[in-house]
Amino acid sequence: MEGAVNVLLVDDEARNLDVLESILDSPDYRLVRAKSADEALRALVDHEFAVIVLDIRLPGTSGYELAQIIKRRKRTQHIPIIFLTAYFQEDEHILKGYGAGAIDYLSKPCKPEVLRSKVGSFVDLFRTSHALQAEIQERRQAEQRIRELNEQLSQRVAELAAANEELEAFNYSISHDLRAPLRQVVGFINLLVEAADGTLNDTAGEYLALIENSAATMGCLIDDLLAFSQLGRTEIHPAPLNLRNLLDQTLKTLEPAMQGRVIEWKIGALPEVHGDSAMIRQVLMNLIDNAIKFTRPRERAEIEIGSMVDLGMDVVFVLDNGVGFDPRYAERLFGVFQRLHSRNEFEGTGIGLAIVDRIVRRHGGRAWAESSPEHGAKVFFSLPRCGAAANGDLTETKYD
Amino acid sequence: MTDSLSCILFVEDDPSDARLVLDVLAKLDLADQVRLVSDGVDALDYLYSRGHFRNRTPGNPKVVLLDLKLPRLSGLDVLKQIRDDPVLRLVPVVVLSSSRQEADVRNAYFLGANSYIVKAISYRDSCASLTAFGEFWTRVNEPPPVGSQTH
Repeated sequence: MEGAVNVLLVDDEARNLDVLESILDSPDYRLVRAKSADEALRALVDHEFAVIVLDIRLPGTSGYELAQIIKRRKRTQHIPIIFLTAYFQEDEHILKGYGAGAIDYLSKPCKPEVLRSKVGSFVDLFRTSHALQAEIQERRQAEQRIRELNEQLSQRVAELAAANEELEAFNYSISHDLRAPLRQVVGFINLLVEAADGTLNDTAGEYLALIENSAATMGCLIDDLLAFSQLGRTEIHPAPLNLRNLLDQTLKTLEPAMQGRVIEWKIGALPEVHGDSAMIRQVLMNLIDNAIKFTRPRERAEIEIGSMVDLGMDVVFVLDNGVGFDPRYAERLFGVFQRLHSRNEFEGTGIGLAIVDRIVRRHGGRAWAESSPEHGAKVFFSLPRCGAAANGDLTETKYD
Repeated sequence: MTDSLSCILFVEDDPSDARLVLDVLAKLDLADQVRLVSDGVDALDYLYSRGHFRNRTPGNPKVVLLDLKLPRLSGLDVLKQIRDDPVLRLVPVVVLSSSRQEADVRNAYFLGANSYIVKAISYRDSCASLTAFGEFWTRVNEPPPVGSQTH
């Protein structure tokens, strides 16, 4: 507690008060004088006191009675009282009645250093107790604040979960509801061609083919969007995975895409990882499918698949000598429907790497890419090492 | 209104989807055999010969072709009602839905669907699956006998 503290001096004689004042004169104290019990009580209502120095012999209400009143009142009962008595022998029995604690006495005439020392220790006590109370108050406020923040946080988490759920439901519903009119467009184009039964001229036929083609593209976009949205809702079933086996299966599935191509494969050692086999296979599928696609202009394609350990994570990379991409857009590669090449050059909706990114993130890893135009691309993804705790969804999934 | 008994009770709220399906079934000469209703309540009214259909020829259709997303009573509600009813419970129900969602497929089978067809975007695929559907359920399959079933 900063600044001077109040000390109440109670004596019916002004001369005595003057003496007390001169003894206790200090910038640390603000001395308040009271010449009667009534004045003392008024002062006690108006101010907070660290200690009361009280002459036991007061006219009217005696010092003893005043002390009783003070000790009865909740607001003042904790204030220590130092009695001053000129007749110690006579007053002793009264003083004993108070017992120990915040009550003390001094015989008149009191020795200045003794009075100063007693008042000083009560003032110290007062300051310490105030500081403690302030600290407790502060701590209580901090605890209250933490409670409030915690509540806010859990509310935010709940809101976020609800928003996420809503978004997924929205995504799903959009994908399904968008399919209906598309299906109808495609259906009726076919029925129209049938109904026209060869009476359409070439231009009209060409337009219809273009409409159907556009509808098919939209169908792919919707399917991809649906697949992407489902990815967020599908539970991960993690298990130890032999990446090499997954890779072999993937290459087998992608054989049709390699028809008529010369591709030199370099396959390095691959780690055993912990993950959802269907999802990790999807990651490999998308990355290798991209590598096959973007090396198409090369007479001889080179695709390398390997791994390394970095910062405690298993990092798998797929490297190709294809057309690559402008590194300025490396981040955008992993966005939904982001394409860095024209549709005439390379087909696809641009969902593949977004799916890779989402799967890898859900496994507690990340995906990134490096390239320069015409120098091929190198796409990486990291996964927590087998046995290491993951930071993504995997930590929420039971392993048993 | 009198109504002869139809082989196929087709429950579909989207008129364009309905038209596409009916056109394929027409090619199989099943056009006269299809009774189209546009929601779950009408479907049950037909099956129970009540409301608009109180005067229809008695008997059960050979198959119910049921969309899931329907106004008023959903496809799954209709399916549950059919399976809970002693007279209707054996009527074959084929779900025709745009959803390939695992939960939708599982729920449909759980409630007793006999088959589940996903509405294809490609016209050729959709023709193929509907032709197979029409051939199988109206010509190949032996429908369950009508009446309260016990065994």
